[in-house]
Amino acid sequence: MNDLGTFLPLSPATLHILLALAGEERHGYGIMQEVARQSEGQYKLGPGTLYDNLQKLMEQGLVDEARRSANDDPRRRYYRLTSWGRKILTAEVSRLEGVVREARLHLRAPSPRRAS
Amino acid sequence: MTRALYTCVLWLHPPAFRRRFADEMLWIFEEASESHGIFPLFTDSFLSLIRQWMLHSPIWKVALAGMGGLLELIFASYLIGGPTLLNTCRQEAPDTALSRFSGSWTGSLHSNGPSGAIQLTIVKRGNAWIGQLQLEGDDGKMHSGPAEDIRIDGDVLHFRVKAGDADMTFHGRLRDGRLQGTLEATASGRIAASPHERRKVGEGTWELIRGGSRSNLRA
Repeated sequence: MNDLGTFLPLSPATLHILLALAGEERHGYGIMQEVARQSEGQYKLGPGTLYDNLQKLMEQGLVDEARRSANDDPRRRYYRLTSWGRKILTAEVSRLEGVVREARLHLRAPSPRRAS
Repeated sequence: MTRALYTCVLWLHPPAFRRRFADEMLWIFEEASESHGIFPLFTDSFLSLIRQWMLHSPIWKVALAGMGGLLELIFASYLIGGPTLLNTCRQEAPDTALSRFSGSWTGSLHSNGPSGAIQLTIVKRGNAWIGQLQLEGDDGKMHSGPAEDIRIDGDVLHFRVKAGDADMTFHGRLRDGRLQGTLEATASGRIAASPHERRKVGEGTWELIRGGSRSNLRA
């Protein structure tokens, strides 16, 4: 269960949700807005997809429900990244960095041609 | 209107998911319907509905197991040669050829024996066919007798009848909505020719005058 490798690679929705919660705890609509901002409007998360993923992430212990103040709208629930979720996100970012590094290496440097 | 529809879609989600997230999703729907658009939000909720039932609910697994068991049962009964469920269903279905015989038929017999009007009534009661034949004898009187040993095979009708002193068999076939048939005397009847042969009494064509099972016949 606690093996990092079993969680990676993360799906795009999971990655964006964890990234949205990496800075601060947010409610559902806040997560959707943050995901749209991070992706510059290219990835819009619907509430169905969001809560499908939040349910799974809470079952896996990557996300937790945060306490809310008494003044908040009762329909708003706040979610936060757990320390385990942060580890997973860090591991995924490292993996993606490796992917990007490899991609840059192969895309920038042309392969040497053999002399005929 | 759209809010009520979205609430209905949320209501279709599995209870555990609905209890936990439905209020939040409805709130987001109200907040995001202008910025995201109604159609994408509904599409997203339908996809979520499918995912929730497929991935998180065991009900579809039970349904799938049930269907698999039913298929196994049908396959096994087919292998052992017993009556399969499919055959059972086929037997229960109404057979149009059989139902076409049901009713009262009237016609005349062209013969050298009993001649004149002949009325045949045949109906199906439960799993059995019952029938009656009425014919005008050469004495000018009407004779009637129950049809026995009724057999129907596709468009072919066969039965035995005792009317008056005659013991006869009928063999007919449906053609263009009419019943064409032949009466033959059996060995035991008064008009039988000899114990070892059957004698053709006559042949005729009958028209259906009243279809269905409206008849006073008793089994």
